[in-house]
Amino acid sequence: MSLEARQRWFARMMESGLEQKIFAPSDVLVHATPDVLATNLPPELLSKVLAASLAAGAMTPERVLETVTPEVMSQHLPHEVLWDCIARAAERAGVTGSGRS
Amino acid sequence: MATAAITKFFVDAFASALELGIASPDDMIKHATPDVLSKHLPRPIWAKLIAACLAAPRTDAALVVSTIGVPDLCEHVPATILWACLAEIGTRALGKSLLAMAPPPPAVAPTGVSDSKLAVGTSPGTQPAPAAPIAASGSQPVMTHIPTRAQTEPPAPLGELPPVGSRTPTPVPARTQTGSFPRPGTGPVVSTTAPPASASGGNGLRASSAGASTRRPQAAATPTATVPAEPAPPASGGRERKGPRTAPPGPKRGATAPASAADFEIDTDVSEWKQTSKPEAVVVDDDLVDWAQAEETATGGVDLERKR
Repeated sequence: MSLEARQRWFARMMESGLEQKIFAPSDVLVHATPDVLATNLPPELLSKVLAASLAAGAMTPERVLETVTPEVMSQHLPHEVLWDCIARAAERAGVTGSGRS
Repeated sequence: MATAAITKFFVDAFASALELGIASPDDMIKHATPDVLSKHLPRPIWAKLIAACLAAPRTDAALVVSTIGVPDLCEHVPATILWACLAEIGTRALGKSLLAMAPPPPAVAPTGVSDSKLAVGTSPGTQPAPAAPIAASGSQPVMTHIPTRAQTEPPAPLGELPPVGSRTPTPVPARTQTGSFPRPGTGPVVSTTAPPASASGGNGLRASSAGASTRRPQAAATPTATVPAEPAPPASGGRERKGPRTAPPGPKRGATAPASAADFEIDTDVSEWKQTSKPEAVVVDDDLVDWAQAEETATGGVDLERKR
């Protein structure tokens, strides 16, 4: 499979997960930690995140994800991180069969 | 969260995966097997599926998935199965093998904050996905092969050794000298070697190829030793078998009159031994006489002169 296809797939899953409230922006940032974001996001995006937060007076997960959209995440963040987020959400939903919810 | 939400998520995930070539219909049918579909799909959808399959020149996973539709699949197939499928697709997309992800670690990841969520985050991708796929795939059965091998292999060799307590190498040669017959004669050998007995069709002892091979070589060695009849007792004293077997061969025959598979072998072996032992017994007597004389002469001066 192509990298582009995988990126689009992960973007779609992240978007759907947020839309369906399978996981929340805060859940995403549990995996896409500040360290992960700082390491993988390009400078212009980091700048944009900070600028938006400064303008709003606060940096919240929701605000971060306004800039770091699912597309951006799938493009810049390791897909393992995104998958962890999805897998953890599925676990919470009780569909993994692992017994943890 | 509502099941509708997770269902919609599954629809999006599978639909986009199929659309983007991340997954194939085969991936879905691999988990949503016909058996699963038969249990969970409504009859109207089954009717639709059967009609489509009958009309199509070829029935394959693509036809099944396209006919049922991803939304209906995700709506009716249990979420655990859908997740197992999605987890397999996801892990494959990440270039990870299911085996690597397999271990469903109950323990919390080392790093991370106190929240349990961090456990997943700290261990990138390996923890969550694996558990489901493995359980669904059932790759564990492999372990069963090992025990079966272990059971089958060892029994044969051990069965011959049955000489019970004494497995030490030294006693074995002593037997060969004394005679091969004693081994088959002992009942306990048969009982101890349960595996060979079961394997043997007719005679419990001879039937096992391994047992026959070991005995014969020993029998060939016995004839050479003329003295063995007497020396045997000491050797047998070392082993519990030899003592009783060699000494009582004659009486055992008479005692074990009732014919059984094991007894028959014993009789044949004993007869052979007697034939071979008769000449040996004569020689032994001669040797004993000579030896006594030699000692007496040794005490006297005459023998010393003779030897010189």
